[in-house]
Amino acid sequence: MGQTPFPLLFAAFLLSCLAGFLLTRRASPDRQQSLWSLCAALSSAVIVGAVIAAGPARLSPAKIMGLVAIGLASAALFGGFFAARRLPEAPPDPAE
Amino acid sequence: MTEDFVPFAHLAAALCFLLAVQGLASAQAACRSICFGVAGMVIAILTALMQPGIHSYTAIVAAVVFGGAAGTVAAKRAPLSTLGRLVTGFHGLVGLAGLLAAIALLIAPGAVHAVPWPWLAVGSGLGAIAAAGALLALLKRWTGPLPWLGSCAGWAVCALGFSLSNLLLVMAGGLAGSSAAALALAQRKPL
Repeated sequence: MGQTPFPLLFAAFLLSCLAGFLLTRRASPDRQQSLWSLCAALSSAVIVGAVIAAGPARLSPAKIMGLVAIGLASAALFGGFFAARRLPEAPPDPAE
Repeated sequence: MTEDFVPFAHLAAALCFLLAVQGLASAQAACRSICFGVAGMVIAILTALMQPGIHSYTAIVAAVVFGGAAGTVAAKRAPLSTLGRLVTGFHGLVGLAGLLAAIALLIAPGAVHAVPWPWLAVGSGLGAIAAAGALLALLKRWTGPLPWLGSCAGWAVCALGFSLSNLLLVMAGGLAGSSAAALALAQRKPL
């Protein structure tokens, strides 16, 4: 699996942080809820790490934890995308 | 052969995520931006399944279908006024998933490759903060520090990516974490 050298990883990390920060900073207030939901969906990329833990054929505690992590992350993944689609119609949260 | 293909797939997926955030942050159609996000995630998951060392496809697909169905039903059925809280819960779930995945990689007997434990410790710590924070926020109905918790989940994904030397996890986590942090800053100021 792509063993990327650390300096390259770190550069990619800094660039994506910069991109996310600059793009989101200028977002209009009515899109903030949607973006918040998209963040949940994007963080669900953790599913990729969980798949590695759940991969081996032999049953072990690590594999069970990996599978539970996959289930949780995919709930957030699908839910995040569907919520991001619905949120633009939502009225602003009265609690704020 | 498939090994050479992996970095390009990761870059393509990261680019899709970037386009999704960009589209949603500007005034473009929300639907198209979300499609970019879905496409990126499909590439990411397919690439992950194609790695060597992955054997239990049935169990993995079953977990995805089960969790995905629960998330879809929750997000579609919830009344619009509670959707914001539901999304907070999703951030907590991601944090919990990060915590579990990090511990699973730590205790896995001779996992795919030796994983450096300090990154995993950082990842599981951040995941735990995100999960606990979301739970507190839901119970106590806080709204103030919420976006910071979401950014914790993103950073946990990042730490996991550093531990696995996985470009996609690092980029997706950085993007999600910094976007959530920017939202947190924006919410602190009066709009």
